[in-house]
Amino acid sequence: MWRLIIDENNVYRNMAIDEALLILKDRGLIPNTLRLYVFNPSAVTVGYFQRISDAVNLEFLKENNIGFTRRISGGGSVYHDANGEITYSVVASIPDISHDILESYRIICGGIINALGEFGLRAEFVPVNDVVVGGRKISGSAQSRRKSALLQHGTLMYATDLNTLASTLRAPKEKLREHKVSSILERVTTISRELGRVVTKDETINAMIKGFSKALNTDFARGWYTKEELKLAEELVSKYASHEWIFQR
Amino acid sequence: MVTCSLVKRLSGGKTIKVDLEVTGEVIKDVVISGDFFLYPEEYIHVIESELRGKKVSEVSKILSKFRDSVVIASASIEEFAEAIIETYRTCVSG
Repeated sequence: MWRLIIDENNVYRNMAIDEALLILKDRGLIPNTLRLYVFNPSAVTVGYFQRISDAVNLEFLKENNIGFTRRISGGGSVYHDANGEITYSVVASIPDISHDILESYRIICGGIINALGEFGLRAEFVPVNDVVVGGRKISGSAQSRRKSALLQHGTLMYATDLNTLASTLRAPKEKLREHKVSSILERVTTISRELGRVVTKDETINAMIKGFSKALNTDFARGWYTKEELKLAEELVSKYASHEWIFQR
Repeated sequence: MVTCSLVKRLSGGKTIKVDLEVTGEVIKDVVISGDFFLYPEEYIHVIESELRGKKVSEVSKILSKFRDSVVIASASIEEFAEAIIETYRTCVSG
């Protein structure tokens, strides 16, 4: 039985909570946890290794007052739409998923593929970290590891405003060329767009719970953070809000 | 001093960007960025600092020391070395 937490925070606190969960899981102090959450207000995160100015359109973010921070995980930049995207975090002991990194991505992304299956959509895992529907990306994930625990967080876009997404993120032309598209807009999709109807947040969350239950072969018990988790997360918030962290490269 | 940068696709589909600052053959500064996955993440700073002050001809040897200590998902440390050397070539060719 895993713990399930559903919540909503600003970008700094969301990333602080994920890191706190990973640290405390690594110390063996908390149960395996599935966290489903929303970035409110909408925000952008960039991968640990990315140069901020290469990964996002800083001018657009500033003009539109969109918050952003750097993740502890690698991978690319992400637009988290408060009204169109659910982020998941799987925090677990490494042996409970897989020691093999690619295999663990595949297992956890299986939860997203199953969730899309609940909507009647056929999705595919594209290594390392993408889930696509009809060749278009609908979910991206990133994993960070400590000695004995892993954190994989990722997105599921159900109604993301793709024009805003395309305005906030930058993709190198080398990457677009390989995907045979000229803009990010052509490369991504949402559940609502695929189904031709408006899909709600609650529908998406319910499908994700079912999807991860199958992929991780577990039931979930709805719970909440421990005092220790909240305390550590609170301590980490200032890092994620700091210029030093965000603009380190 | 010359600065140059190069963006390259890694074999697994991720992107690497190398920003290089060299004086002659000596690396004054290097930043390895991109949307790849390298574990443990903090080692990127160790790799970069190991390269500073070294000659470009030593890059492969220096990076091969990290073969057992870092894992790059769907790419290799050798590809990182190649990317740095290739970036240097663009410096030299102007």
